Amino acid sequence: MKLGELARDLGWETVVEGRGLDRDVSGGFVGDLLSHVLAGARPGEVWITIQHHANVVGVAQVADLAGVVLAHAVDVPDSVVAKAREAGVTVLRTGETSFVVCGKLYERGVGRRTC
Amino acid sequence: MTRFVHRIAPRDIEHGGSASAEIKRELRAAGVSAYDARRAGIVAFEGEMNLMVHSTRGGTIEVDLRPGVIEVVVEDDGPGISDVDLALTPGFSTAPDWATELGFGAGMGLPNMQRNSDGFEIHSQPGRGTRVRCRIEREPHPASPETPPSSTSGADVEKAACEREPWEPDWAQDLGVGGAHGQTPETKEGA
Repeated sequence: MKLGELARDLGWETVVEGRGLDRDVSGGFVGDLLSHVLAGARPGEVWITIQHHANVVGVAQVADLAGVVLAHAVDVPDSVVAKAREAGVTVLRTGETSFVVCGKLYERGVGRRTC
Repeated sequence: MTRFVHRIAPRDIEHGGSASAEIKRELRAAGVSAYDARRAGIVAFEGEMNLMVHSTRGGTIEVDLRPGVIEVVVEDDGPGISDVDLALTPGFSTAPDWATELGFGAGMGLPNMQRNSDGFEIHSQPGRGTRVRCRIEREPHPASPETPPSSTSGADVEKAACEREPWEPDWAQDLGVGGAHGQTPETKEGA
């Protein structure tokens, strides 16, 4: 499923469109420790976090993630928006908790193991 | 040989990660594969975060691109690491509170650099500085479980999820959190 479709279905706010909305989401990863995400997330996955500073954009870029979902209605500073725009990183936002976001994604088959 | 050098300022949160993203772009532009550029990008990012959080006066990330090899050297002139073995221990961190609140200081920076490199050297002297040298051998190399699936259509994504190895890196066992998916090593052997 494409990230844009998930964002629409789940009612996420699009903070920065970036280049990820048309990407097929290959799975998901949740975490607020940046090194943990770099160690565990795979290319094309969607990252759910409550971190909302400029380095989030850097992590999404180097790890080649489909996009970032900022949970818990965190505030996104203008500097982060500007950096994500420049980098082409898709940033989405929701008032739901990371747990609920992951549950809804899994329900839609993202990262689900059928075996 | 192509060389990129980036200067990193201390405590510069706003630009954190920018140099690594730029390095990844430069490598891709120079014809490096997505897989290798990602590994080098992660190595550079962790180095960049270390310089940003820990270094006294900032430092440099130097990337040398040679046939078959990418070398990333991260260097500063202080404060230095008094116990390098301890610093390499997964989960160990001396990051200050402001950094851990931002999600740094998981104690996985150096282990992540090591994990994404084929050769890793670290030299440090308290009061003098630290130099980390990472050698990344470029593709072709043996298939890695981290190689991204070539296609990500619906059925392929499900297949990829099934084929995805339980995530249990070496350091997870060091931290005593091994046994992904509730399996102990014993049950795996018996399966």
